Amino acid sequence: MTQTDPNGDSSVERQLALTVQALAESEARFRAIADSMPQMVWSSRPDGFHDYYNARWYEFTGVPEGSTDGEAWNGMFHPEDRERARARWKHSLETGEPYEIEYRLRRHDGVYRWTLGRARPIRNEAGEITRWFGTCTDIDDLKRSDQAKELLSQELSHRIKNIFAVVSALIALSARQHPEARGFANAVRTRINALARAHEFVRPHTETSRPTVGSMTLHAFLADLFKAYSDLTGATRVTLSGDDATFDDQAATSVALLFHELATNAAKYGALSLEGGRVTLDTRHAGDRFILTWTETGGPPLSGPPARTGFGSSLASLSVEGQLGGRLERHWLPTGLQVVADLPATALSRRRAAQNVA
Amino acid sequence: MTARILIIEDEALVAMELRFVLEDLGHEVVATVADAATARRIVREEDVDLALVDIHLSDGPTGVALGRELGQELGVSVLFMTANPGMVRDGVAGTIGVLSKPTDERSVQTAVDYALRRRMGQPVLYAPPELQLFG
Repeated sequence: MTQTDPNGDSSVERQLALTVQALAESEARFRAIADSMPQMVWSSRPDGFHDYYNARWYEFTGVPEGSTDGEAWNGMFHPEDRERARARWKHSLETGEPYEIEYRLRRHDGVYRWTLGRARPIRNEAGEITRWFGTCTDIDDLKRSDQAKELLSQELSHRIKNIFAVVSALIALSARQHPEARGFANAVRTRINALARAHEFVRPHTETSRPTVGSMTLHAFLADLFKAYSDLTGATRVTLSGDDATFDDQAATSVALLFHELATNAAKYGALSLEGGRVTLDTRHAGDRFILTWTETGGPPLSGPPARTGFGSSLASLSVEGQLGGRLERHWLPTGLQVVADLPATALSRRRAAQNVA
Repeated sequence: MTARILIIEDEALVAMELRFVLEDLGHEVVATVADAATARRIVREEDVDLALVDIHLSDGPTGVALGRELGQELGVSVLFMTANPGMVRDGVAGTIGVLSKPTDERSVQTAVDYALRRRMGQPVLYAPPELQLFG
């Protein structure tokens, strides 16, 4: 027999009344929070039926209350984004994965604004999804500023590349006035051209501006650099092997100069000066080091180290030891020169390494 | 073999050096122009065997369309010379290929020789490695 209180309600009915009141208060509290948030907030049933939008949504879209319930939200998106959004939402509903997508949402004045849509599911104790809660955040200003930055970056990239070409042309033109300086001018120009190529591989790229279809890595850059030393059939005479690596703008100058010097020397005095000569270049990780081994064969026989080191050799050593913080060793083997550059593993991508630590 | 060559490049210094290189090789440089409209006018008025075309010209990125037109409709052999070879990565109909800037004299020489041989219908075994061929 249930107990009754002085009002005549049973304790069960009283519990029920209290619970309903608590729910109503909770709902009111939710609406108050949701309507005070600067973002648009919405909610849907587990089947994806949208049944709640906060005040921001209606203020932004200007649509009558309730008119975007169900699936009608999709019509508020830019036509080009509708299919993508529908597919993404469907995927989240099926898998329970958080929903996140950028799309263009139509504002009350007809203007489409880039918006970030996100939603997460709420689950009951059995793990079943009972509701989705989502937000829409206007990111149009951010998106446009990103697009402007991208354009600026492309503009800068183009100018940088052009500057290399102009400098190279300027040197060549100046050398025409000074025939005695022709050798010097050529030496400088080939080094500048090597620098230009290296920087081409590190500067920020969009899909269209990338010089190669594949990766922007050390091996890709080297393959491009060594094309000039191909044999008469167009086949390469420098064979790459081992681990590839990426390199950043800080390392680009050093990488370019080191390999330019090695190849130029080989072409003048070493393996690449004879048609049958070949070079192998092996690059690999070894613990916290990155080792590059350049081995020449089939060139003129060597009888030991040369009497003097040229400026090019100094440049190569300076690049490896000064700029990259590594060690450079030359071995004058009877079969040909072998050069070993032993670098810290992070030397080629110091910027990324520094960011990871920070 | 010598040829009549049109240089289409908006950086004056680069164009000038290229002119000297080609003249040293014995070719005749018909003109150097910086935009597509002038290029079309020259080709209509003069005999041009070969055009070296940059992609970015003084009137914008008009080089690709220009090169295609010169190659397909106006009977000119076309080599692109650009710092942005990615922009013609899928090839351009009616043109031979692309050289990456900055170039050196040897690359220019071998590429021009190759283009002229093809124009004359002479057999060519190998293209110079620095020249990225289309098709």
